[in-house]
Amino acid sequence: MTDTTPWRRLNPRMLLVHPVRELIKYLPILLLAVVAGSVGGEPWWTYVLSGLGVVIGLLRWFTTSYRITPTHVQVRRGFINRRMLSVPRERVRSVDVDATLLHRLVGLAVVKVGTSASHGQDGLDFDGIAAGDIPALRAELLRKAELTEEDGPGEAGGEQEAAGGMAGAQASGRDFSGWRWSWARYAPFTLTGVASLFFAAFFALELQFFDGGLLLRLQFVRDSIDTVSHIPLLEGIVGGAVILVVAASVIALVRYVLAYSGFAIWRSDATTLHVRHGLLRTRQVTLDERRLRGVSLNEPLSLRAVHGASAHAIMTGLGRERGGLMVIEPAGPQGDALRVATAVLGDETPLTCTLEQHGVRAHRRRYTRAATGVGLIAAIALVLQLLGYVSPLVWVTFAAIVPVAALLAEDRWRGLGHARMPGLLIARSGSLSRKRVVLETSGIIGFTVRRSIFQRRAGLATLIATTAAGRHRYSIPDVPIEEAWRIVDDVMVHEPVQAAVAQH
Amino acid sequence: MTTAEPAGRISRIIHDPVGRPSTRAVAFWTWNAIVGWFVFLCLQLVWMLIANAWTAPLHLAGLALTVVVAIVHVSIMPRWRYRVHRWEITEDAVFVRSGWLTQETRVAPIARLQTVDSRRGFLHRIYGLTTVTITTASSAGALSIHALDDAVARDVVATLSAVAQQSKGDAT
Repeated sequence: MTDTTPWRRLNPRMLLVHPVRELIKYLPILLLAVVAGSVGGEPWWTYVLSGLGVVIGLLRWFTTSYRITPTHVQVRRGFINRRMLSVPRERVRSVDVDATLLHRLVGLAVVKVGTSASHGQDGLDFDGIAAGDIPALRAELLRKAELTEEDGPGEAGGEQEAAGGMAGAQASGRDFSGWRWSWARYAPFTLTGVASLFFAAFFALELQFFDGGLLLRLQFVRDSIDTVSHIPLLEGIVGGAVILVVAASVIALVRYVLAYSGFAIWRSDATTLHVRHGLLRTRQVTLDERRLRGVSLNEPLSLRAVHGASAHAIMTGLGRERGGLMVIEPAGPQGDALRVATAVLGDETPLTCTLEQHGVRAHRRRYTRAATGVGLIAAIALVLQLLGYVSPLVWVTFAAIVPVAALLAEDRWRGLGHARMPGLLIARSGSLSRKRVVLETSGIIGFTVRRSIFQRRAGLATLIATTAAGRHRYSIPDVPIEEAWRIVDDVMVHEPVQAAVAQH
Repeated sequence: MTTAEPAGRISRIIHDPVGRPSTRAVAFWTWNAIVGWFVFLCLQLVWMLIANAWTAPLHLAGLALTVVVAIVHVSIMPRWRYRVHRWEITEDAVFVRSGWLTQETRVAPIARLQTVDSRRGFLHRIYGLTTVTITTASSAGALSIHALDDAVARDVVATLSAVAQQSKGDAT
């Protein structure tokens, strides 16, 4: 390569960040050493170790350089094992600016470049770019003229027009997320919020039911149990539940505020989308909308109960860390999630249209599956009872488990459905974590039709669309088999033909 | 792609694909399963040895269960698989059907192929078999054509690699 573009270094202020970061990494060892040192013996090796860490951190700055040539983005790294990462510029799909608190203190950020093959290779990261240089670097990385690759038939025209129309309607560059601080009230109802509640409940149960549970080994836990055991049982349970809910809510709230404070989404031109969020550690992602392959609208049961929802964009080239999913609206009012998803997709119909249900057999299967689950729990309960771990009173809980399972089955059935629109495949499923996924058929690069022995008997199949975007696989459970073949036929054979005809 | 195909073309291929695995596949799958169960049985015996539980009823029951399940699996699975496994490569797509209890049909347009690789394990070589795996840009979209005759597999790889080189656009 006869390129003469000069190599550039990262910002020298990284020389401040690296040592601190290394020291934080070694903090537990250092603390341990200090404690041990007070007992006896000079823990000199820990100082050597952390000193070495600092030196390596500093070396990293001296050995890293990068350049952007007219054709490639290149990063050189390493002291002993020198490595050069070189990516053709037309492969650059997104730019993610990640500023941790430490970086922000010295006015820097990490610029992460998402490429079209980012599930295969490690990231193209520029760790340590001054905030002031970022807009120029970002523009350089994403320069549109370089994006010449034609991929996916029938994609260029319609989508861009739709996007252009949207940009006209939304004054260009204006934030359309509508995020407000008050949305933090949805945090406890998100899946992570509910999960942390269950996590806390699990610990509480372990403490309750098993002698010698993990927590019982801690002295202060035992002490507090002694005090608790004086409280009458019912009060204890109610009090415990309240404490659990409050604790889990606070955790979810803190998480939400840290991650999504100041959420903003805007377009700078017809095909460039920007998303910014975060309180202490801020993220700003710039996306090429031509890499958009769909949108998912997430309505987990808990969030639906308070009329909330969130939305993701399904994209390629977002980098491994984000798994191809970009939050375009965090948990908030349903209407706002729908509005933002519509604005990104350019059309509301696929997000609100009624879906084709999967028939009686699929309905029955939701119940048989729920019954199987209950049966499994019953078997475990039976074994536990026979082995003497739980009292026969455990069967009382089935008075709650059975109706809950039935209600969940019914709710899952109500959510289940799919629809076809020109160029789009729409599917919705799930109850506890219900999702409506709108996928562009041009982004679908294959189908898997999976049929268990029970599904074959019922004439059903799980249809899985594979794509390079988002989660890489999107499945529609329990589709009638004839319908599954029809969709495969439609998308794989007819749409490409139509697109080819349209091009000529 | 000049002529639009009649509807249900995929269904035709789904119900009547041409390619079958090699006739030696049944023997291959049988021995593959036997080896697997043998390893499992050995682990169970080692556990009994360590626990010194040669007469413990639970351990013996577990051992008996393993033997019964293994015999059923080894005698049913290979033939069932042979009945299910099919593949076909047309000018615009690749189809693979596999499995036995749970069956999968995978379809990928030829234009989206990325890599083609063939794998021959120790047991594969004994029977002269090759498994060809085709990947697309989706990590969930790999297609494997199991237990092909070596000669057939070479043809398949040659055909597909030629196509994969021509293909433009992998939908990333």
